[in-house]
Amino acid sequence: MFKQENKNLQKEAETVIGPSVMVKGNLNSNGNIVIEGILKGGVKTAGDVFIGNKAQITADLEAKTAHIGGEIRGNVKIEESLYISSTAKIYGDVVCASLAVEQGAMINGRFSMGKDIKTEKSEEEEKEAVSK
Amino acid sequence: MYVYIYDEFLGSGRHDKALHKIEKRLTDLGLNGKTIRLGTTKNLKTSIDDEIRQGAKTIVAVGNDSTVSKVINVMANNQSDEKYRLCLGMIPMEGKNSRLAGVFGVKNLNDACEILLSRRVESFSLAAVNDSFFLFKAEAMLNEAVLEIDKEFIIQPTKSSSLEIKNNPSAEKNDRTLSLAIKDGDSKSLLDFKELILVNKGTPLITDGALEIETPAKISLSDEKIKIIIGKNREI
Repeated sequence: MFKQENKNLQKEAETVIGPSVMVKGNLNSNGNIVIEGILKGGVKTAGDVFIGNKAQITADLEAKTAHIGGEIRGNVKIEESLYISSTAKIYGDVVCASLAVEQGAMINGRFSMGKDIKTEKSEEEEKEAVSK
Repeated sequence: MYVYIYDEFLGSGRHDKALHKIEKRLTDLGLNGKTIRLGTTKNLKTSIDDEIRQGAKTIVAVGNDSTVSKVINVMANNQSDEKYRLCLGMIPMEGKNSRLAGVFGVKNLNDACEILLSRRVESFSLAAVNDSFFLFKAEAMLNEAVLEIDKEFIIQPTKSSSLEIKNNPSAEKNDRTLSLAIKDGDSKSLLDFKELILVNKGTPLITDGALEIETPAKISLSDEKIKIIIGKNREI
């Protein structure tokens, strides 16, 4: 279902984290990102994110759209569409506007849909900011 | 005034016939100038700095890619304002080791003198590695390497990989970025960066296929530009 879109996204990607590298830290971008390797930290982009089947991510993820095929340990916040393929494993809360999930995907966390919904973490951050 | 920098390898005698032919052609075209022959006792930086001070307007690297890289580094590192009137010319003496000249349209010895005479000059941006500069690319085989990108994240290759950093010297760089590729067989990682710090065990960076730079190395786009005399068949 997602294969053609995935190929297009990979071709247009501004940043590619290949399977033979490990990234530690915050990856911030305005363009599309492809992650096939290991990433620990955070991912934030105004563009699209493709996470390959063998990727292992320990990070919160924020993007416009995302295709997730690998493992994510962290909260996922997607402004528009989120596609979760059968090989995906997500351990964290997920927020998105629209969703497609393939049979076999594993998701352990709260699911919220709609543009104005926030993750538990972002609510806490907002409360802290107000109290300061 | 023209200053011709003859690289050390030209002293072997193997290139005497070609050099004689070039010198005759340069004289015929009125492009003769001072010749500096690099050798073990001749310091390139001191020689070029002296010539800049004495009013040289064109420095011509006679040799190969290594000669061009060495001359660019001295020109860009010169501290005087006089360097901004300088142009770099190239006379390629070794076809396969003179790829830089070819990129700028100086494809062979026969064309080199006419290209110097026509004096078509353009400015090109340089990338910086520590105190050195390069035009196109820096490469290295990575060995237990750590790459810090824009002070935001680090990359550690998990397999034996090669690194390639590319500068596009003719591009307008509003975002001031260079491109990074880490390759391992068919897989690769790609991203643009403003500043990269590379630590690599025992293996140096090679800039423009010519100069070796030891790590740790800080790599970014430089503010320095260099004026180069180019041929009409340039590739960039």
